[in-house]
Amino acid sequence: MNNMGGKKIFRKLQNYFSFWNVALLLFLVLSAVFIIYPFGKMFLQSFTTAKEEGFTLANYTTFFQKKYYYTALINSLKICIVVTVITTALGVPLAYIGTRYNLYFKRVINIMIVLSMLSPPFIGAYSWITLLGRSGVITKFLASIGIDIGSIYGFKGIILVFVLKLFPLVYLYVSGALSSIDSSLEEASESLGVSGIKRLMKVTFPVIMPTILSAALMVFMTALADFGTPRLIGEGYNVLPVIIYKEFLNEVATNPSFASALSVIITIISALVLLLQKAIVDRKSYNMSALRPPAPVELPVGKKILATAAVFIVAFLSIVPQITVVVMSFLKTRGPLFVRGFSLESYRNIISKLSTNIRNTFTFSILAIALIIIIGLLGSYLIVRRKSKITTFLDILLMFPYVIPGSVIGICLIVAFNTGPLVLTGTMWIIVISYSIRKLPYTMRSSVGILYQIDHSVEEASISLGVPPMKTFFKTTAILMLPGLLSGAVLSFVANINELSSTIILYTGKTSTISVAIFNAVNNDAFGNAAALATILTFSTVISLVIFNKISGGKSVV
Amino acid sequence: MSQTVRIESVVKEYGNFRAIDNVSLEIKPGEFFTLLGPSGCGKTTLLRMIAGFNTIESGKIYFNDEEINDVPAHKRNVGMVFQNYAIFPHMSVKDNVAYGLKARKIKGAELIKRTEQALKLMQMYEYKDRQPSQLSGGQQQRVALARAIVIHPSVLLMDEPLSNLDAKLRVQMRSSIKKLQKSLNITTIYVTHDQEEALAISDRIAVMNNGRVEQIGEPKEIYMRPANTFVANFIGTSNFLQGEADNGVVTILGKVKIPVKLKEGYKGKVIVSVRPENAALCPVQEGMLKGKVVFATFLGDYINYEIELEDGTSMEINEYTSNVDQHWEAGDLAGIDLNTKRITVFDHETEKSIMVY
Ligand SMILES: Nc1ncnc2c1ncn2[C@@H]1O[C@H](COP(=O)(O)OP(=O)(O)O)[C@@H](O)[C@H]1O
Ligand SMILES: [Mg+2]
Repeated sequence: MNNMGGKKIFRKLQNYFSFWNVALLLFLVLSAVFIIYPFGKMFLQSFTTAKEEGFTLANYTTFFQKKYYYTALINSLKICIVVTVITTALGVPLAYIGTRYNLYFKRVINIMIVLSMLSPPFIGAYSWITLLGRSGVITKFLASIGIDIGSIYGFKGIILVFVLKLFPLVYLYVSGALSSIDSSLEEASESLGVSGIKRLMKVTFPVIMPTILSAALMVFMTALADFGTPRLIGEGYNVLPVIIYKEFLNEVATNPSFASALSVIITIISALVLLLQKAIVDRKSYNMSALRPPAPVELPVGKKILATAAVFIVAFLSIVPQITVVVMSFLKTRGPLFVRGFSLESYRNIISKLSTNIRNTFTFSILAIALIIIIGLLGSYLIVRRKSKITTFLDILLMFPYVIPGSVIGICLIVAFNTGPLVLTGTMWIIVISYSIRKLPYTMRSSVGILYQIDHSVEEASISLGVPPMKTFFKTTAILMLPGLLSGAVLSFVANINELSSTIILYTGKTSTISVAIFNAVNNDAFGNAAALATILTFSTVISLVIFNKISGGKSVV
Repeated sequence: MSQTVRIESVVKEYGNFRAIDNVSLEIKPGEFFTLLGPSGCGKTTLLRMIAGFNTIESGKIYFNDEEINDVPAHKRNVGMVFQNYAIFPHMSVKDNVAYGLKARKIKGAELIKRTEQALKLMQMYEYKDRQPSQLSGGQQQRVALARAIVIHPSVLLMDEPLSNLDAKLRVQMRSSIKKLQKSLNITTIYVTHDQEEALAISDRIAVMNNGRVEQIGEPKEIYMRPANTFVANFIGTSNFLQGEADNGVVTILGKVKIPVKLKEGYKGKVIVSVRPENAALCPVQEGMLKGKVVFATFLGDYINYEIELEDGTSMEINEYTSNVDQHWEAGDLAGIDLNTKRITVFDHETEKSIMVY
């Protein structure tokens, strides 16, 4: 009897320390250390100053009193709203044309759009400067025939670059939604006598409205958080991420309390935008899966050419930056100037001087991806299959970084790990952690989605056949999740090799990356080197996409 | 080798809701035992408690004499067949079947031998290298069965295994499952909501409703001697007529008197249940129930009549075409001849049987 009791207690203990409970505990500790603590510390620090003791609102009052600061906020909002409106107005109709009609060169168009979406954000700014800037190729050529195109620096330039960079996002999201509307829906509408434009307005667009809003949100958030573009092409036009960076440098990293206050403000803005979008989408969300997606319509030749031209031109403009950097990387340079003739000089330069950066970029990104895959695999399992109040809380925690712009994550990590029990500043780990945190919400969303598609009884079958739960997970669900997870990871990898906003805050000489080197090269007018580095990124992106296509079995991106 | 499964006063709660409410069962070694009941009555919940996927709030479950409440699912040695088969989509047929053997550290020639035996038994040997996506529903079902029996489970659990198959295949599969179970002599607990399937396949049946067991018995017993009106109505069809019982005589509609063996000294209002095949239509006679034919449906081997009795209750009667000469038409007035040996009488309040057999 006694012995039986002992066995029972042992079994109970085993239950408490089961693999998943340990994993849950570990996740809670990790998110406490790397998400709650850094953000909490930054938040508290925003209420301190170097001069005064104790709690103070001084940073916030300064922000709203000094024109320099609050203008940056207004500028940020202006940019984001204008960019969101234009990309949506451009992306939605083009996506409709692209999915519903047979166009020429459809594959080429799609490749251009995907590539431009995944290009490093700041390459756009940098390329358009080399084309249309003060001493840009096109500017000079037009000037020589007497046309003055004016300055593209400042507001106009930022908008131009953002629109071309972010329109593909709307295009791809909306195309996806348009091709998953079951055609019977639209046919039903036609049969009820609602057709043409009216049907579009009454049936098609309302149904894809949640998708449009999600895409618009992504555009808004990306534009709000991006540092490289406004920094390079904005010149005097300050937006929030730029002044965060400047303040951070000014405060010499010892007491970045004003930068912290700015970070809090920008985080609150993106959280508000997210809540607004959620409030709208939750009220009108439809679950769609096309049994019979609409077949593309064949247009008469004239119209087909026009439709193709419309989509092609915009897609082509989005890819111009990439083409530009690739071409420039093979040009001869003398200082900041390109001279006639081709050469591999830029490549020789970067290989001899910047091989550490190249190695760093790939090391950090691969490590971050490995972490992300593990977290995505285990985290989504906890959230979906071990649903409880605690795992729901974990879900919220892991989604939280979604509203934190890259530069803010950078500042948080500096604030948290510059001093104290765990010092990470200056190490490669702080960058790897930043990359992982930034991509975490995307990975979590997609892996939760994947897991919902996988039948739970497969695991129960394995358990009842005698394989313990943890081993069962790795032999069944994990293997079934992996293809989806890996293809998502490839996209995160692409984003990470191009990351600048947090790296620029976290890097030191030893941990500098390609994107930092490009940024510095552009600032130092070493355009040739910048172009060669950017070309390396572009090719890495292309190769990653090929891998993505292999893994995901040819399913298109998004 | 086959085991007894004993379930003692088991309770399962979801929040305040009792999905399983104090259920006790004893399943004999090698028995084919079925949990039968309407959707949502708790069959799956109980089965998953036996498999170890649901916690047990109170009560105990034993395999032979070992209490298994705290034994984790993977150590219970049960074979489970899921409603949607739950075939491992990333493994071939052969690997699916070998999976449980490998978990038991069975290797080499033994592994191959047992895997192939199980596949042959289920007539799936020739498909052994296929991927699950290349199999039909019936074939997946066979793989699921092969995978469950190959490990020589103490208990075989099946949750509505035939519900995803078409009608014809369902009948075929149910007899091969029955034969397989008998030849292997595995204690089997089978879940279904289909009463015909349950009657055809089971040694004994537990009829469940709202998380409780209403009656346990052999198929014939459950059909012929329902313990309450729920069972009478759920298994087959029953007509319920109002009546009075006094001194061993039941009076229906105030005039038809039937002597019945009831519980000693029972007196009061009763419900009399009559199955459609236990009544026949005849010319109207004194002292007999009578009613109007509302609808006659010719179904080949029998005719189904809908009759409206004098007090307005409606009644269903089936007559085999081969047994009768006269066919009735809607509007006809007919006498109703009850097979008084086949009626069941229930207390009006408790709706429980008051018959003595
Ligand atoms: N995980 C659960 N949480 C809450 N209620 C549940 C859960 N699983 C089952 N139930 C409820 O328990 C009852 C019995 O369910 P189930 O055993 O699946 O019925 P059956 O298999 O007989 O159709 C149902 O009312 C169902 O809604
Ligand atoms: Mg069920």
